Amino acid sequence: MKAGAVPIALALLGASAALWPLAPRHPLGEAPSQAATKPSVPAELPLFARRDRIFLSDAQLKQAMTTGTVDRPIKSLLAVKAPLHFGDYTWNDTAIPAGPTWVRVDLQTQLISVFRSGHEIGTAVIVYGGDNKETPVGTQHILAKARDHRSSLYDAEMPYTLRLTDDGVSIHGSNVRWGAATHGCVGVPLEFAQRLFDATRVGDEVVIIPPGKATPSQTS
Amino acid sequence: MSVSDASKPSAPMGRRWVVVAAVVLAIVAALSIATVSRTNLAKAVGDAASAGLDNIRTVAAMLADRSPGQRPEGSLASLKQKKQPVLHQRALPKVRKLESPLAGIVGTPPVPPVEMPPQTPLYSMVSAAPDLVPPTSIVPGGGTPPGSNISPPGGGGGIVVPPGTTDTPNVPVTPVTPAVPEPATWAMMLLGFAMVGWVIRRDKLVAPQPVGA
Repeated sequence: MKAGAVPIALALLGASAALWPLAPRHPLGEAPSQAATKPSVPAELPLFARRDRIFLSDAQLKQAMTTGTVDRPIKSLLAVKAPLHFGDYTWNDTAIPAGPTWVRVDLQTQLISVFRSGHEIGTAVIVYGGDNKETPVGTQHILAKARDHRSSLYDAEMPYTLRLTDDGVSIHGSNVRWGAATHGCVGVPLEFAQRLFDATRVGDEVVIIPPGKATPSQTS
Repeated sequence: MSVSDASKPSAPMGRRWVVVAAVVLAIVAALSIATVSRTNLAKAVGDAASAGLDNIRTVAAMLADRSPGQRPEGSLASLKQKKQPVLHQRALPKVRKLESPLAGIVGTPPVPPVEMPPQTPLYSMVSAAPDLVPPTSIVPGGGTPPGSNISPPGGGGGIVVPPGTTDTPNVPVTPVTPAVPEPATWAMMLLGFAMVGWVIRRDKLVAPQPVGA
């Protein structure tokens, strides 16, 4: 009988191992809360669209929302390999589903980021208002869009204008270069402005973060 | 239990069945374990690869990495942007000056009496074969070829080698456009007029719908 016990044990082990993949993943219901530390890689993005993205963990998101870097949940950032120069931009909305779109303008880092469905789809370096013509901060809404706008106040071309305030502060295509400032508008590179113009609708939110709000020294 | 019952008779055949069954089950189990663990491993590796070291950094730090930095305080002397210089481009004259600057000093070489080429129309000469060069761009080999003073009809902007000058090797040879269009051109133009007229006539025949109906 001792000779027959080993195969029987092996058979039982094999049977249980074969049934193991069929067992429920979280049998007692407490396991899903443990997944909070994992990065929230969404299932809707295919693999090729996830390649150039940095998906945020819940801890990162919570930290970012606590410190005011973002004011709403985001899922991923674009993986920008090198620092952007003035006039540079990155745009990648591959396979990003349609959804709520909002724009984050950071005057501290001189960056603009466009988010759709929680994923960042574009970022660029901006120029913003000078010291006596400051860009209004806070949450604005896109009031109007004008593809070929010409400012009557400043007698200047402002292509792909997204008007934010009643007194004319807008996001528009501009000559983004070092040392430049605007009269309060947010200037973005022209091609980026075109993409931004096509990606946003009237009513979408634009959050302008003042300088000193989300400094890296505070949050990192 | 049936397996142990089958092994009860302790016949060598029955025990062999048990061993075979156990081995098969063990192989299945090993394969399933390998599959499951490999899936988990791939998922873990994929997550780590997609996240990389970025999952230990803050969002603000990642944004600061791509930033050109904070705008310095004193860099904004003027808000006015310099206007981009407007590039002017002047249209070239239709016919360049034929005389060289030395023409007034040296004097033009005497022109031999004009001998017209055999009576062939100019347009057929140009369009007959592409390798036929118009007579005005024939490089004079010391003498002046006959017919060299025939000016090209129509301003084609071509460079005309003046008679008596030596050739530079990279003078572009431009075909001369004949003043009178060819029959095919006439036919195509008339056909186009006919098409335009037909379209206008068709549009008139279709009664316009009242707006707002």
